[in-house]
Amino acid sequence: MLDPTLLLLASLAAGPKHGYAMMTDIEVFAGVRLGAGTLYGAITRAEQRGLIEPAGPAARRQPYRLTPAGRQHLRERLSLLDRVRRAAARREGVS
Amino acid sequence: MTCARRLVRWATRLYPRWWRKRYGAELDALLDDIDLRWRDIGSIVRGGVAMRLTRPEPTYATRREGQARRAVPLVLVAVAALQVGALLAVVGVVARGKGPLPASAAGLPPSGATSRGDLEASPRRAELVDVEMPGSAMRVPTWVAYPEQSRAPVVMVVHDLYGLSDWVRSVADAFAAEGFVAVAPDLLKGMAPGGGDGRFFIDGMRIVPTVNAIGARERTRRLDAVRTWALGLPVAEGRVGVVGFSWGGAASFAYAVEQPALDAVVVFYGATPGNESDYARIGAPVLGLYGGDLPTAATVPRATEAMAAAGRSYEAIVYEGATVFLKAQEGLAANRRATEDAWPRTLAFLREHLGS
Repeated sequence: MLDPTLLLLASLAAGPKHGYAMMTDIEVFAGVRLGAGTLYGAITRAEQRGLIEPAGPAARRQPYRLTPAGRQHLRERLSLLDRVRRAAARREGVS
Repeated sequence: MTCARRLVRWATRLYPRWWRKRYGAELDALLDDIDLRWRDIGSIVRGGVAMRLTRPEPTYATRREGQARRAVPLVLVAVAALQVGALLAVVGVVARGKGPLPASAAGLPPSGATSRGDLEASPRRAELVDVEMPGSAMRVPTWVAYPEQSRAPVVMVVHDLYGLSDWVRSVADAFAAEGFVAVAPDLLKGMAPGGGDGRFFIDGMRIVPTVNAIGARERTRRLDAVRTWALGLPVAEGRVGVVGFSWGGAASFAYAVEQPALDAVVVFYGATPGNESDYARIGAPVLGLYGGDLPTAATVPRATEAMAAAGRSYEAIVYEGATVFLKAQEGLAANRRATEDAWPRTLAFLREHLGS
């Protein structure tokens, strides 16, 4: 399975969302239903690393958004994934 | 409160105090909103243990007072992890087919991931019309996709929790491509903050309670207004079918109860009516297509029994391992397989009961 942090950042790349919106969004675009604890683990670590931040005032259904560092991190991860995908596809002879 | 909810509330106590103070209320809110699965309980136990092992504890500026809870001694954490782990092993987590599949294969409707491109490429005429409601200043914004034929039956497309999205419009377009006049009402009109419609819900807001706040009576009033209006279209040839997805699937089954003149109803993974006496009021034949990994699949037996008892026509198929399959075709192999079976079945069912 893909790294939950990457799924989280990819979801927030489309705009701020709270936990429930992220979970349903990730299920739609990746077909992965993250466990509630997995999602909040990823949120905790991403916030500690400064990749995301709360959007707006504190709320029970707290929306989060990407920070510039989060956006940069997402780009780097995507470019790495893309290199891996291309290399693997070449070696498998499918591209 | 169900056993699973009690268990999950207990498991959230495994998180350390600093974590609960910062995220506890948010996690509680999320647990209120989702359909709980065993996976959630397992992930919370693992998350609680992982956060306890985090050193040093991070400090946060106080954003709110966390809900104070009795801390659980660390020794209990490991015991709990073992117990829940064993429980999960007994329950058995069904391994599901994985691996992304190519999007939007020929003959299938678009998924949530491919809808925008499909919509832009459509050669068919479509427009957004404000449908009047009798005795009200309210208008129901309704997306209409026209078929190539000059006369065609009507298919009402009832959106999911996300309102009249690009995806719902492109599903309407897929029905138009198959020879139906497809009308997709926006049932969330006026429900978003500031009186906006469903398109404002997609990011960062609480969707479920707002959608449910519409209420069954108002929902029926809006659907009836759109049905009457659609029947008056020059292209409409007299029969009306309803196809709903997820929340809209449940709304469609409920609408079959309120509007016995419907000619066919297709429910995609929405819950069945909870009130047993409702079923005898249904006039239309109903086709129900369910994702076996969604909680709504558990509501199928009661409908099967009640529809049979009431002498009504109900065909229900539960696709094992599938979720919101039509919208999420690319994610799970089970979702793609379910869509490949369900879509032609839907078209055949509509043609049988509506013509076209």
